[in-house]
Amino acid sequence: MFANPRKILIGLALLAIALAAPAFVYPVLLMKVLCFALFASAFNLLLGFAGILSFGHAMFFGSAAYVSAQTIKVLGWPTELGILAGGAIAAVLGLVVGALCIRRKGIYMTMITLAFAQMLFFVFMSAPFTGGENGLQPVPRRAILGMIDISNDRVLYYVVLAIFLAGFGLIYRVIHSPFGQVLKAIRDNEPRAISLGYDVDRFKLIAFVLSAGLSGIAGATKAVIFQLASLTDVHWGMSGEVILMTLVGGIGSIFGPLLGAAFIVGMQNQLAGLGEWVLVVQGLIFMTLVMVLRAGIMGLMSDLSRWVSKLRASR
Amino acid sequence: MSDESILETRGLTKAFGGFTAIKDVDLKVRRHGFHALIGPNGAGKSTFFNLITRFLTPTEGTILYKGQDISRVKAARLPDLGILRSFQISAVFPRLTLLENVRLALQHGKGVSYRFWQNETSLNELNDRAESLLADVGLGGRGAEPAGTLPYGSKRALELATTLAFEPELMLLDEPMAGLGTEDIGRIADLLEKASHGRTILMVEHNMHVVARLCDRITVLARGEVLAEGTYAEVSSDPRVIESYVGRSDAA
Repeated sequence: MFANPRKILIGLALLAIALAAPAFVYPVLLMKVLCFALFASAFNLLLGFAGILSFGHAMFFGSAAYVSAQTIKVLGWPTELGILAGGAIAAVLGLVVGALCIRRKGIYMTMITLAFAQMLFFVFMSAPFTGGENGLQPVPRRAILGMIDISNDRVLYYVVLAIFLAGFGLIYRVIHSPFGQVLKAIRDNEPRAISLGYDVDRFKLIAFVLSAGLSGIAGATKAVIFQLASLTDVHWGMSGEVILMTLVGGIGSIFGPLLGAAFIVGMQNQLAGLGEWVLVVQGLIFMTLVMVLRAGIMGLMSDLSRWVSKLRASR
Repeated sequence: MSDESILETRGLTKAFGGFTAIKDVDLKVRRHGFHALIGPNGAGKSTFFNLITRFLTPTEGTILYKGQDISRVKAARLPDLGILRSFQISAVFPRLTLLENVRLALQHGKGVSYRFWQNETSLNELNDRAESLLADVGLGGRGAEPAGTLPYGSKRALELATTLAFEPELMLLDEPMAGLGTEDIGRIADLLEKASHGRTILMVEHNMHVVARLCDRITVLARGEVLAEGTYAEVSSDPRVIESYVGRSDAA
C-alpha cells in the first residue's frame, strides 16, 4: 500500500490544498468543515464499517462541546486539555450507551441511541452550568501548550487541521487494522462472524467507543473555534445532520464523509441568505441526491472514473 | 461409550411458546464419523441444528461435547473448542476479497483481532497459508477477487476453505448442497469427502444421493423426535421413514 506512488501523490496534493486553503477561503468556514468532516468520519466508522446506525451522535458531539467549554472557560484548563477531556467524556458516554444498545438490532438499536440523546438534551437544557438557551460563551482561546497563540483564526486553522489529521488518521488505521477486518466481516455477515469465533458485541462496543470519542474531539474542537457550546450541538438535528453528511458523501467510503461535510457546510454557508428556507432547500437536495446517487458523491466519482477508463480502453 | 462419541445430546428439548419443536432428542455422533440428519420439512432439523451450534438455547436437556456440557456456552466460543458450523445460505463476507475471507479464520487464532491500532499489513504473513487453502478448494490464484461476485458454487467452496482454515475437529454443516447445481454438488461432495478424513462431520441434508455417498450414519427426525437411526440401507428401508416421506415432494 505504501508502494503506491499515485496514492502518495494524491495525498500530498490534498495536503498542499489544505495548507494553502486559508489564503483563499474564510478560515472559520474551513475549520467548521474540518470539524464536521471528523464528526462524519467518526460516525461513518460505525455506520459504514460496523453497520450500526446511531441516531444520537449529537450527544457525543454536544456533551464534549459542553465539557471543553466548561473546563476551559470556568475551570481555566489549557485548551488542549479541555479538548481531550471532551473526547474522554464522550468516549465514556459511548461505552455506556453502546453497551446498552448494541445488543439490540436494527431500528430498536437506533431508537435507543435517540432516546439517550433526547434525555441528555433535556438534562443540558435544564442544567444550570450549560447556560440554557444562551449556551456557554465566550470560551477563551488560550494558547496551545502555552506557546501557540490561537487568537488568530489562521493559526487556529492549522491547529484544527492537525487535530483533524490525527483523528482521521486514527480512523483510517482502525479501518485498515486486524480489528477493522473483523468489523467489516461483522458488517457483511454477522452470524458467520460469530461462527468463526468472534465475540461481535465486543467488537461493536469498541467501535462504538472509538466513534463516540472521536465525535467528542470534533465537538470539543468546535466549541474552541466558535468559542461557544450551545443546545444546537446536542439537539437531535445535529444527529440528523451527521447522517446526512455521511449519506451524501457515501457510506462506507473513507473519503465520502469528508466530501459530504464539505458539501453540506458549504451549502449552508452559500444559502445562508435564504433564512428558514435553507432547510427546505437542503431537504430537496438531500432527497435528490439519495434517489439519484445511491452511493453518494464518492460513488459518483468512482462511477465516473470507471466510465473514463472504459472510454479510454475502447479507443 | 463416552469416548466413542464426540457429540451427544441428552433429552434435548426446545419449545417456542406452546409449540415443542424438538422433543427429548438423544443423539450420538461418533468420532471421525460422517453423520447425516434428515427428515421431512418441519421436522425440526434446523431448530436442532441451531441448538447444537448454540444459536438457540435449549428449553431442557444437555449437549455434551467430549463429555463437557456445552448447552450454555456462547456460540462464539465453539470455534475455540474445535466446533465450526456452516449455514444454509452460503456464508461469505461479500465485500471482502477471497483471501481476506479465509484470513479471517486464520487471524482468529493469532489473538490480534482487537488491535485497532495495528496496520493490517501485519496480517500478510497469513497470506501463503490462505492461498494454499484456496488452492485446495479449486480457487487458487483468485485471492484478490471480491467474494460477492463469485458464482454460488464457488462461494460454497470458499466457505469450506474458511471453515477448514480452522482445522476444526467437528464440522456442523447446514444443508451444504442447498441451491447448488448438479455439477457443483459433485464438486462440493468431493471436497467434503476429502475434508472428512480425520474429523467428524454432522450435516443436515436433503439430497439423498449425497447422503448415501458420504454418510456412514443417518438419523431421521420427524415432528421433533428421532424416528429412526442407522446406515443408509437400514434407514431407507424402514417403513416408518418411508411413511413419513410419502406424498412429499422433498423425498427425492
